[in-house]
Amino acid sequence: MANVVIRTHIPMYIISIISLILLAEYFVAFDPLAAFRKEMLTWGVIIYNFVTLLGSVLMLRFHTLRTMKPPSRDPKARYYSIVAIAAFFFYLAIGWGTGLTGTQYVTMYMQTVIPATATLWGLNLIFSTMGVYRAMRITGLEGLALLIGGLSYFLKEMPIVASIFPPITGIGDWFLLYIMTPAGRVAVLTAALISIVVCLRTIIQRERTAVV
Amino acid sequence: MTKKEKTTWDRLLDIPQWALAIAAFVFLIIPVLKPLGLPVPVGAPAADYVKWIQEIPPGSNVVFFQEMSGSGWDEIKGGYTSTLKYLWSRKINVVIIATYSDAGPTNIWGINYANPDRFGAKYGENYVNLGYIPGIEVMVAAVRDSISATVSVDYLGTPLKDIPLMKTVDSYKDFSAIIVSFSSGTDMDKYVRQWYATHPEIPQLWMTASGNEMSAVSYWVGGMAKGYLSGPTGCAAMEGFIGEPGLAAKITDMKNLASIPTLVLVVIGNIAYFGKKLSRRES
Repeated sequence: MANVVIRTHIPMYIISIISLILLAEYFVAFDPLAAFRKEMLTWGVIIYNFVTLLGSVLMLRFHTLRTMKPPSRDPKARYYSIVAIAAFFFYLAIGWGTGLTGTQYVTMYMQTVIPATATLWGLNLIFSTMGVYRAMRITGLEGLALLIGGLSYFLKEMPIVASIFPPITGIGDWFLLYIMTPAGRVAVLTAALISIVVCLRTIIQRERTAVV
Repeated sequence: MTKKEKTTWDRLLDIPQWALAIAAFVFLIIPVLKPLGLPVPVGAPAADYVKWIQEIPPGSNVVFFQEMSGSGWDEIKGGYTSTLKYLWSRKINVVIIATYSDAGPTNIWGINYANPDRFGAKYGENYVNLGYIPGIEVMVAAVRDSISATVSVDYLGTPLKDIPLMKTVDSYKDFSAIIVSFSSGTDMDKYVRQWYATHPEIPQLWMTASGNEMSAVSYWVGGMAKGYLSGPTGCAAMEGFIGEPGLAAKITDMKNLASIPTLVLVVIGNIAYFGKKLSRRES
């Protein structure tokens, strides 16, 4: 019982009280509340940094354990983990040695991480081509809507189409403004309303997903 | 059991993935070998970005929150560098902040590429790179209230009190605009929540990957962002505006032909779909 109180009840009370104060500060101009919010922001930064550090430690722990005992279904996982650990310490050494703003670190980052992620991103073109070929079929009203919406945006982004048929930019913008914006707004407003509900449920201690 | 023979429609409906991949790759590589150099279409959001950036008074200060790294960086690097070039050419001071840790190196690369010396922009006087400041939304809110209370040194470790620009710039009161390069479809929300909600008078100009445009457009229509550059096409518009087509224009050129197989496949897919439907009905 004591364990449950420590692990769930106390964090829930802390969340509720802090959320209430932060909410009140938004609507009431009162200096002590503003000072409290500022203090909370500083605490937030400290906790965020600690979580980043904790994440690195957990990642190292995971890969070290996997190096020592790889999963039976994937024995090669050991080698991937060794690469991950080696890359971690290599970056750490260069970053520590030359500083995160040093030419070596920046050059290394720009010549390894950026091309690798850009290649993965570039492969998207091939997978998107496959996906579009299968998805953009007028099998019904939804398919037609997807096709019109997708093509209007797609064509407006292509200079070759705009140079052959200049009004496509305006047509694409029209779809963006009058068809896609309302749809986007519905999504944003729905997400915002859900956030409010979750916040209120957290304050009244009905939402426990943050601590359970 | 006999295997049902495939009709032409079936074959067209099921083109092997390797063939699609080769087609996409071939069309992608042609403009790399021989650039087409077609004029870039300027959409309304990009036109607004260009319009509003001209409204920033010379000699004033802007804060530039930069989140992009990895693949996203390729999408916006043209907009990032051309924006810096334009701001420096108009003697507008820029305070650059990396919102995420991996945006630090891209900032340094982008600043060097934009070449501040060319515009007579001096570090510490006309621009400052504060590097990565942790905290994400908490940081964005804290910077709005006071930079000196949030961070004490710049990216090189120089105390802010020793940097001339930072003696005159500290909070939202000192900025005439905020420029944001955000990384995901919800990352711009924090700038709306923490800056626009409290200080809507400070114009926000955004740039992002083209995949995020569907999320950004609502905020542009609502006036939270005065304009935005979406992906390489939007960024190429900014490059065109300053008269220096470069990083984004190259990618836009590649998109020209690479998109053609996709269009052709959409047409083939639909013709085959209806062809098969018709042939079934006839039989």
